[in-house]
Amino acid sequence: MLVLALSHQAAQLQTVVESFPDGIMIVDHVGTIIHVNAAGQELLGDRPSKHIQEHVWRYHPHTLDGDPIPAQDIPLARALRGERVVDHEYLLQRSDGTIIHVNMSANPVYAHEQDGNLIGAVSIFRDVTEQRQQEAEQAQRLRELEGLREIAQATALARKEPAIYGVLVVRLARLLQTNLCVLFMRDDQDDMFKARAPAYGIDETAITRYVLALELVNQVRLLVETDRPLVLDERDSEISEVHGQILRSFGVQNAILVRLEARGRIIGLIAAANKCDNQRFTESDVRLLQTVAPQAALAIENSRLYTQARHISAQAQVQARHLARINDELDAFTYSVSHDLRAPLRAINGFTQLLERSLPDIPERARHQLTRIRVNVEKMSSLIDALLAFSRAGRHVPEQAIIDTTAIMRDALHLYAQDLLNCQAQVVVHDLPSVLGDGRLLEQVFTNLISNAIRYRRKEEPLRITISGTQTSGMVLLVIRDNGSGFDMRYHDKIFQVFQRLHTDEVAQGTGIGLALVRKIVERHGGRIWAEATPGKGAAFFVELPAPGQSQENQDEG
Amino acid sequence: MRGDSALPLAIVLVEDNPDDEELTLAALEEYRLRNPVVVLRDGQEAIDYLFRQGAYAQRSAEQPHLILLDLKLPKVDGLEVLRMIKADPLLRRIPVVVLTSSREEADVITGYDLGANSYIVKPIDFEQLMTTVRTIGSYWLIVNEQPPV
Repeated sequence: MLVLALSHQAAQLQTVVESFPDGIMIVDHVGTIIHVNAAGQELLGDRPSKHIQEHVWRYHPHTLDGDPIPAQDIPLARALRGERVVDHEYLLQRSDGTIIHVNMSANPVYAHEQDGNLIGAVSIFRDVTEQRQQEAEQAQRLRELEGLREIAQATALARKEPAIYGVLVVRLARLLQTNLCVLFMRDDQDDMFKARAPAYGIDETAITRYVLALELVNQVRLLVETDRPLVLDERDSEISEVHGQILRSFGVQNAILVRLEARGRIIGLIAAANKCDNQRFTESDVRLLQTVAPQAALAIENSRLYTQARHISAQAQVQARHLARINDELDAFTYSVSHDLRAPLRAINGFTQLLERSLPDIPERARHQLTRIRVNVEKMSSLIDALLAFSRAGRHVPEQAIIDTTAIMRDALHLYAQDLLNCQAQVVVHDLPSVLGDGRLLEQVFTNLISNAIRYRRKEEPLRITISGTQTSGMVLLVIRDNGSGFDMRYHDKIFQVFQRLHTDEVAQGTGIGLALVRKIVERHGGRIWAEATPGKGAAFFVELPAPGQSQENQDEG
Repeated sequence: MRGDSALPLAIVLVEDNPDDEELTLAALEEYRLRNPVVVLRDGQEAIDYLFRQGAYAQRSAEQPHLILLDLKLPKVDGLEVLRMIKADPLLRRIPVVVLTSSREEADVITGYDLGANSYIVKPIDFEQLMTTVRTIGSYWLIVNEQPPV
């Protein structure tokens, strides 16, 4: 009854064991294999029951590194010593020679659990080759992604080219597990691709020896022109002469080259290489370089643009400072010269007048000569004053007030009331739009223009001055028109330059500074001045000045 | 004309340009201002005189009643002299008329706001100079009530 019951149980157990998806191997207390289930036989690649009665040592697993493990460390052997082995992983050679990755557990089997009478051991194992491969690939992808992320981050932060090279070669060498990694950058001067420091695995002093001629790069162009990196290997039986040449010139066994392209132009190459032939590049290495290259090229290009932009802006700043300094010096020079000229002039004039006073009965001829001295002193004095005003206009920053142009124009005319009366002038001033500017400076503009009109009037006709103004798109255009002697338009630009005069003092008195000062003031206001004239018919001066903005007018009213 | 003159209402002229000095004195003479004029030729001499130190340590305690001060001076700048005068509790009561060579310099004076009582731009025309001297003279020495020294 008991036997029957037992054998009944055994049959049930057998069914369970056979239908189990994992391999199951049972050994007796000395390690003789007494059963391997169907899944187990298939996994081991054996015909059913082939190795029954053989010793378990027949199946000798290896560690994951490929080393054989000692016989006493085989899981079933350990289980026979009463140990429990859970989820250990080994490499196992199947009957056909293929190696699989297995996960194995083993447990001792006792006749009665209580008495410790060990009658054998059982091992459960399954093929995890594919699973582990996938996991390894995933881990590799993760490492690659992490590496790429690091490269992207580091190159984005680096501003200077060598810093980018450094980040790239070190991280790539680590990712590709290679012992040489370097960037060859194109030199447009001699059409060479030259290795740049810092490079991984190349001494800084030896770096100049690593050079690729454009010619050579062109020869391998067919491959370089595709996005795929060029993989060179000494052991490749079909390696071309050129490829072998490249490898030998670097003293390496294999190499992988990928182009760096920016704005449709090859600016360089990334090269990774191995000096010994037990390391070869894999498909994932190729993929990795392919991913990194555009990013690296972009980082390098950005850095170059950044450096260029900084250089340009630094140059512009230097130039602006230089110009400002020259301008300041010029104004300071004008000021100090004209200032220092006043003292001797004062002395000449003062002593001449003292002389005149102390000699009451001087001859007419001598008196005339003394008068000429005084007249010339006065002329020089007004020249100096004009120069001073001119230099002041250069250093003075115009105020930005809303100017009642009509009122200032009337003030300016008022200054010349006597002169205008003397030449029976007819002056028409239309309503003028307000402008934005410096009242004191603008009055100088108007007085100069009016004084010009008076001085260059034609003697045979009464002077007529018409002053009008219009406003268009943010600017006010003022026109001061006269019927005077005018000038030849060929000399238009000359009249606005310092000390350029079109007339002698016989025709009209002038310093040669008035219109230059007018132009300087107008331009300091952000405006323009120009003239239209016909010789003998008259001249019109056009002054364009900024109009007050909407906001300023509102402010003024509020 | 000596600074230690017993006459009151002395004028101090601080001027380094001998021509300007001669012309100013001539203009004062023309106006027949009998006031003694002490001429000092640089900023340091002006300070020594006014503060009775150095070469002027022994001079009488009598202080001038008007100072005509040029701005561009050797050794110590006219502005510095002006600043020192106005920082001294006694000297600050003496009217100071600043003589400038140009309107530009006049701007400097107003900008510094050092308390000059007046400033004039040295006119080139001698007649104008005389008028100016006359105006200053009559204004500060006659019309203005002198502060107690």
